[in-house]
Amino acid sequence: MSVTAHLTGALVTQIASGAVPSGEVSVHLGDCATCRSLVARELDVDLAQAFSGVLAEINAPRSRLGERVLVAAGVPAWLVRSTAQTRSLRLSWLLCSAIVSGLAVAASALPRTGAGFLLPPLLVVAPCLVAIAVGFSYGPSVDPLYEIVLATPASRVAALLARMSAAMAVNSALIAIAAASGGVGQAAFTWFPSMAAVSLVAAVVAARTRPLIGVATGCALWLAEVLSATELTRSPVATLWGPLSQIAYLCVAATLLGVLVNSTRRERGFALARTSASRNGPFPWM
Amino acid sequence: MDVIADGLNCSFGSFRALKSVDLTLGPGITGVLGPNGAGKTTLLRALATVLKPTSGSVKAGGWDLGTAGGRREVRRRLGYLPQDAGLYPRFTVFQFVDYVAILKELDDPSQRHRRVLQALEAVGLEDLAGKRISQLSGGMRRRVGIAQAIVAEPELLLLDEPTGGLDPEQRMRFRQLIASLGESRTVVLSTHLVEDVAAICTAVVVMSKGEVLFQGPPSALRARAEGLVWSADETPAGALVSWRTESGALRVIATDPGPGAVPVEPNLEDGYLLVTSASSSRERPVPTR
Repeated sequence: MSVTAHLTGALVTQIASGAVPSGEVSVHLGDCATCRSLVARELDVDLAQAFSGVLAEINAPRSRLGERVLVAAGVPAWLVRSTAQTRSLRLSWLLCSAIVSGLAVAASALPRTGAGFLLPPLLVVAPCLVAIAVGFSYGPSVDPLYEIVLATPASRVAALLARMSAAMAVNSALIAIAAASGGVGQAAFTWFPSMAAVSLVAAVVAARTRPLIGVATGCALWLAEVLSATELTRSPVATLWGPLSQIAYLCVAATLLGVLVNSTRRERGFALARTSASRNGPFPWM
Repeated sequence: MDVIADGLNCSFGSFRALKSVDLTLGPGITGVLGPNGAGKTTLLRALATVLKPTSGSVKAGGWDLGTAGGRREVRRRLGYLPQDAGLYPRFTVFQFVDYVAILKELDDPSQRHRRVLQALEAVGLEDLAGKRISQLSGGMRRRVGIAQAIVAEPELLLLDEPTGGLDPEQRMRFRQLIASLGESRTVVLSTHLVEDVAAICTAVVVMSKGEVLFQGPPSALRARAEGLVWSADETPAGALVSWRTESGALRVIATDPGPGAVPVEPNLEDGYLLVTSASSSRERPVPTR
């Protein structure tokens, strides 16, 4: 049953004086601005606005626990919610990453006899996996809201770095867990510098072109290095992951991070580098 | 908020999307009309601070969009609906608009939620607040896009093809909404629908091939075609444009319509067609009264 006529004066007075309206009357009050204003006049408050506030809170999404914790810790709400939309943090993406890592770990754990692997597959695959996650973490062809976000005061540098860091951290952690559970835990530390360098190559190139081109460049460079080390040196493992190589990876990563932040800051506010727009379609990354 | 574009050029390689555009926009609703490829979207992107012009300057509300500080201030007061506005399909309608409101620095949750609800009410989506965007039709998604553009009560509202995908009832409702918003703000909407401009705009800009061909009130655009619009049985040799109307007669824009032609009252579309046709047919003389 529903109330279709407006509330009587007596009923309005009763509600205004504290009487709890019946279910049908409550529903009617929710739908009828006239009756709400009648009650409000009795109460001398803006009931319409108060009711609007109640409705808004009913509809408002409840923040997730992680989001509330980060916001309470001082991270801006927009940054937390923006990072949560990172494509390479979606469950489906992480599942794929976990499966590939698991296969690489299994292959790495196989006994190397005869024509066995020259290099542990995990060490080869892991940097590429993370580079893909980082390259596809932010950009016009990755984030459908990219152009709208650009027209807001939200900082692109912060969004970019937060998404990249989150993608790198979560995907790295997944691979490390897979490595540890497969008995090749020490490899997790070995591949980190190379992973950082390859990921940042992907990020910097993606920033100037497109995510796909960035990822392809990072992975191609890494695989070329692996192949050349395998073909040209007697000890490819030492060449690729020896102490000097590790230092070189870290230097490359630090330099590229500086380049990325600097170029993003310089271009802050403008989505299109005009020279690259014609080459790369309407929305290059920066 | 006043917007002044001075000598605005935007080039993509060798292609010039905007050619020395000078514009002055004030409070009210300005409709940017033009055929496909006229440069409307490029102009709106430049005004929305998402596209860096090759040269020239834009000032909005006194802030220079060429400076980081100026862009930040304008963005705080800007609502923008891109032509191909993407949405997060897994979000609910409320979540999505709420997210944009957060990006717009509406920090107080209860006030922000109220604004979100008001924006949804304005576009008639309050009953679908909890529905996922992936479940909405194209027209409804467009309304979500409009809601996110108005949620922070912007002083400058830029809408690129806002009525695309809306049904007639929603277009009418949209016009009412924009008309009310345009009373106190600067609203710029790009469209190729002359009737949208005729219905609500207080000013009109006609663009073609990156150039501004006309800027002024709709009445002035209409007046351009006065004495040049005819109803005739056949297309005269010197006609700039002609098309068959519902009645079966030809509507002709020409200086010399030939014998038997009857002069008719021009409308906004006549003025628009006159301006754009004169621009596109270089070999033909531009009719003058």
